[in-house]
Amino acid sequence: MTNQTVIKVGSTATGFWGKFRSVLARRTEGRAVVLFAIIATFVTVSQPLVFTAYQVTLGRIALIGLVALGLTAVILMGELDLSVASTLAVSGVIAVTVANQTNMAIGVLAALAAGVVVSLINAFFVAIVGINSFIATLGMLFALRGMAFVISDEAPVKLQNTDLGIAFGQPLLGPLTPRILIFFLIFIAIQIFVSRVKAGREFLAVGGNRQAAYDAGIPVKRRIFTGFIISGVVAAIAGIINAVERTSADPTSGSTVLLASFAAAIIGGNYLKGGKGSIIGTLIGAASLGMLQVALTISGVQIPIQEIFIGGILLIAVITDPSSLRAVWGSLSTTFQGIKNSLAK
Amino acid sequence: MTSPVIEARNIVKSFGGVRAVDDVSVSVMPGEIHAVIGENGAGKSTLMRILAGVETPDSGSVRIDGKEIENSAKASIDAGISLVHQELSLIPEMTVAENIMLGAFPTNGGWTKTKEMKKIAADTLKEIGVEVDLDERISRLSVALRQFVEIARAVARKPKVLILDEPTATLTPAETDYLLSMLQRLASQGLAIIYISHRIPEVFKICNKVTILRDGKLVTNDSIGDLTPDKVIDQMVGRELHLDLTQRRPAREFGELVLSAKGIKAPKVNGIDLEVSKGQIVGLGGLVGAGRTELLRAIIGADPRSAGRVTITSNGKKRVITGYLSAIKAGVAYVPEERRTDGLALTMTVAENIFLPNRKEVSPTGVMPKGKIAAFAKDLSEKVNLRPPEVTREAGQYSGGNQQKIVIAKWLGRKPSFIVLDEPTRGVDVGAKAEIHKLVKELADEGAAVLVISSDLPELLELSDLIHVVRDGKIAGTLTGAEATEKSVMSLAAGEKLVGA
Amino acid sequence: MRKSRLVLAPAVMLAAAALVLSGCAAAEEETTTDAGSTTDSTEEVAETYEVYALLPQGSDQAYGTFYVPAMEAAAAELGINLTITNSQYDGDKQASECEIAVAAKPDGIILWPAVGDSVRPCLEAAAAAGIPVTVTNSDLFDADKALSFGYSGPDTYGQGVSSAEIMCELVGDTPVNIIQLNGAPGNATAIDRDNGFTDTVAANCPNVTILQEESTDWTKATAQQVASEMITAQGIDNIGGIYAADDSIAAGAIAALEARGVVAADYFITSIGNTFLGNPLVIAGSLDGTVFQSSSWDGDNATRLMYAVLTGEIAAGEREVRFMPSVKVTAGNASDADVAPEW
Repeated sequence: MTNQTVIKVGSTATGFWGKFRSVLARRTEGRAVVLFAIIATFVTVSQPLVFTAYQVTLGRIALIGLVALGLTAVILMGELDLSVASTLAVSGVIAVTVANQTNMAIGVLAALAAGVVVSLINAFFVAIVGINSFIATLGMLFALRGMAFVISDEAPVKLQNTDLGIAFGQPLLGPLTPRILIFFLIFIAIQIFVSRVKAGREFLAVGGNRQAAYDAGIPVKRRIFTGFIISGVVAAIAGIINAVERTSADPTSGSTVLLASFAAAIIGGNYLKGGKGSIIGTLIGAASLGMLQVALTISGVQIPIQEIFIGGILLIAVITDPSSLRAVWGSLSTTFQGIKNSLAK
Repeated sequence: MTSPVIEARNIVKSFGGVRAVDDVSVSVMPGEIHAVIGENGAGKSTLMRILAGVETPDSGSVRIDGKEIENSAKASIDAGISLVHQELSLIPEMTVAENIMLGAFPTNGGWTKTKEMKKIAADTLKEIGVEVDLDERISRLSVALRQFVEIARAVARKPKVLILDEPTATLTPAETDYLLSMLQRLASQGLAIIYISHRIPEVFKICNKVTILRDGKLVTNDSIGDLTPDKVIDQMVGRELHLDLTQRRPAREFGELVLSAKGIKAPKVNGIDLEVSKGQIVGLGGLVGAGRTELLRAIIGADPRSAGRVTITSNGKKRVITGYLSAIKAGVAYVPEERRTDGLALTMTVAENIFLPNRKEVSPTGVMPKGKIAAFAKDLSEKVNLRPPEVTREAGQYSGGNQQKIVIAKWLGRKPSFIVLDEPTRGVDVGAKAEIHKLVKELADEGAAVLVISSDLPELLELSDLIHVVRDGKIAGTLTGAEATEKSVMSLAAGEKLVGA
Repeated sequence: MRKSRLVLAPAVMLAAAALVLSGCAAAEEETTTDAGSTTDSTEEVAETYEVYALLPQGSDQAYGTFYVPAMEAAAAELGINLTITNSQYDGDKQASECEIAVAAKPDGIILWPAVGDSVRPCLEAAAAAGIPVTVTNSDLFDADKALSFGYSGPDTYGQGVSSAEIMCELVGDTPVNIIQLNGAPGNATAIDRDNGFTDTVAANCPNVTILQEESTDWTKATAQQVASEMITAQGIDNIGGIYAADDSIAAGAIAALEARGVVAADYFITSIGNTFLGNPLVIAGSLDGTVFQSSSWDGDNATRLMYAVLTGEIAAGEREVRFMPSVKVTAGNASDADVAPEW
């Protein structure tokens, strides 16, 4: 037996289109891209304003997408972080409260520190104590919401430096506001982290097969901590941006954020049980959702109808998953087989 | 005389009173392919998990090059032990290269060096002679190719000892041949290989030494030259003389045909015909992973089948089974293998569990009078000899054997015409086991058709009127009466020709 | 093949639905742009205006179900093409909707602030784009008022005053201890009603002592719980009355009282709203008085005020405030047709 003997299984793609097709098939974002294309087409035809006023659309995408980006880091590992919206509220309140007493920089640092502390507590319960992340972060959701009310004395905290807030909402680079720029910077940072940095690349392994990841010598608990910290800090950043841009921190803010960010992640092809998905997918999901929301808002479509649309798209994103389709196909074929057999009798 | 690379000394490991590995010592030389064989549950996998540091032994030690190593996954990997798991441990959505290098990405200050990672992966694949696109995701590969990637991962660590747990279970004959020659090539380069398999022919083809385990104990540790396939099977089974033939069911006449399954195809099931008559107990023998559970679930419609027709006749009425609900209507009672997850609601009381499939029988109107439920449950629990028969206790408070009785009891209320049992006594103590055997036989005597899967050979022989041995999703042979022995079942299951009984 | 067809089917369905919807929207828009292009004609009747209404609720809440139709009816009558958004009381979402509205360059924006403190950037953006803003339902903070052309809606402070006046009249000169249940924390309406009530009580009937005041989330369930806790804290024998910031809260407080086995009619209870929930309580006698807030008046006048701005009736810099009359509803007039509840 020599080394030349080679077993060839499967086909190796050749040629540009062959390679292109195989690259496309490898990505998990395929369905998200198709959905995005459909929505983009529909929007172009009906509401061109979505594109002509693209900075507004980008602002909406950044609003719902930022928290989703951080959340995806946790979802990739098969965990959930329900506390993101409350983290957003509490960090906004802390940022403004501290900034009013000292200065903005210290306010921002305090809010970021709060985000880190929250994620450490979340990760401690999930990774060390072993509580299901749904439950642990649900508890955190309520606790932080309450804390936001206590710190703010149950009323929105006005940012004293209103001019700073107004300036923060103005375009910084071309028509792009700081919010949009920060959103893209964070997207690039997390994308590089999960695709280039060893720890980030291992997120998929932790989510895909935790036992195997552990057996292969990956420090699973440390990865879970890292994921929650990303999620918490990004939520805190979103809270700071919201509070500064609105010139006030509202303890009830973020009420529509939680569902929107999960929707963006799911539409982007992320699998809630982990091990499947990508940050780019979430970006595409957020873009689809943002565009759709802006278009529907311009059309004056009422909220319940908007929700039907978003729900429909979520369902499409989920049921077009090949494994769901296989399951549907399997049970259908058994049923048909049965019917055919009964008829044959 | 070279010294052994790996040496396991006096390993002992118990699970809840059962000695899974009982004082076993094994040593392997460099360049040696060492087979570890035994029946299902003989302790092979547990022993290997201990060697790989994934399981902690109660006592005993593992040495590499004469030095004792700490018991941890990391210590074993660092010492040069690579385990290729039986259940695949790849990450479906990561690429081939990433999977081969999992946990050992080459880095530069935290950044992965993708080029270097791909180069090592490519070299490893070349070394084992497998060609596959490095950027392909595992979920898009065939099961066989995944198995090779798994081996590549183990080899990429440059191990001194490579442990393979049933690597050929999912491979075609051609792929198996390729794998075996690959292992011989690796061994010729000085690697020590521990090869676990049920397949006797493979063992004789490539292995130098054979260790046989039975009930957790070491029974043989010989060079392959001193053994014959026949001898190996004898050693694996080893109970021929102890079998109590008086317990077996005498030959008898059966009633009308109850189950007729023709041309059943499903994942891991490749076209099987099966019939069970009234009063008959049909046993399904075979190795774990041969497709028995899949066959059974496809028959009763619990999982979808891709082809085949199933009918069940009860009370003179013939019904086509299209799904699990129609099977239940036709009088099927299914006692699954995983009773803790599939068969019982552990936090509900015995009465509630028994009541579940009998809602219509107990309360046709939908009203659920507690007393009536309790009385109904009490009758049935006495019939299955539940001890103590306190129907208001939570099911989870009972022992494994009693839990199994509850599962059986809950189906008896429907007076099933066809009873399907998957490993009915796994993890059950001896006393309860005998009672369950008695109960199953009684049910058949009362006119039920019974289909039972068991990996416990004496149990299979004791219960069954007829035994089908399943191998690779097909029926490898059918045995009745005197031709059914542990050895004949094992031979068929392991793929060795049926030796004259 | 089959698989891809399965993928396509729902996608096509969605696309079809989307096209139908967008078709409607596009058609609507065509008519408006046509009409818009005739702006330079001298005939005033043919004028059509494009207006965005940024609301924090819509037909998803009781108040909105009368508010939105009234607003739309007035718009149809006056030739205004309304685009209504609903931010579900999320300040960030409303800010984003405001950006969209500003980008769409309408003739005017009607704003119902979701969170009072958060609307400054929106007002500034609209002002920079030269789009007039009018405010409906809850007015802006004083610092922001200059950025709007006017306000129409309930006189939230005045409602608190009216509720207090009912209370003072009922109590007379006897010293009475009451507990006070406010609306949602930070909500401008809640703050104004609170101030209106407490200021009036202090001025008109200092014999009424407010033992304790707590916030609620405007719901009956929370109000019942909060009231129950307050009753326990103060002792039921020390309490002679309750002021609730709206009828739902009053209903919760009454339920809390009844849970203690006392008769609500024996207590001095006033609130604000005259809703479907509150009006029957007034008729039944358990609620002594409430202040009518008409959601249809609110929606109708939101549009009319904007129309006045668009037609130049209200010029920049002369901010107009149109308060809804704070009609007191007590046992005497609760069954009258002109105070029939709307929400």
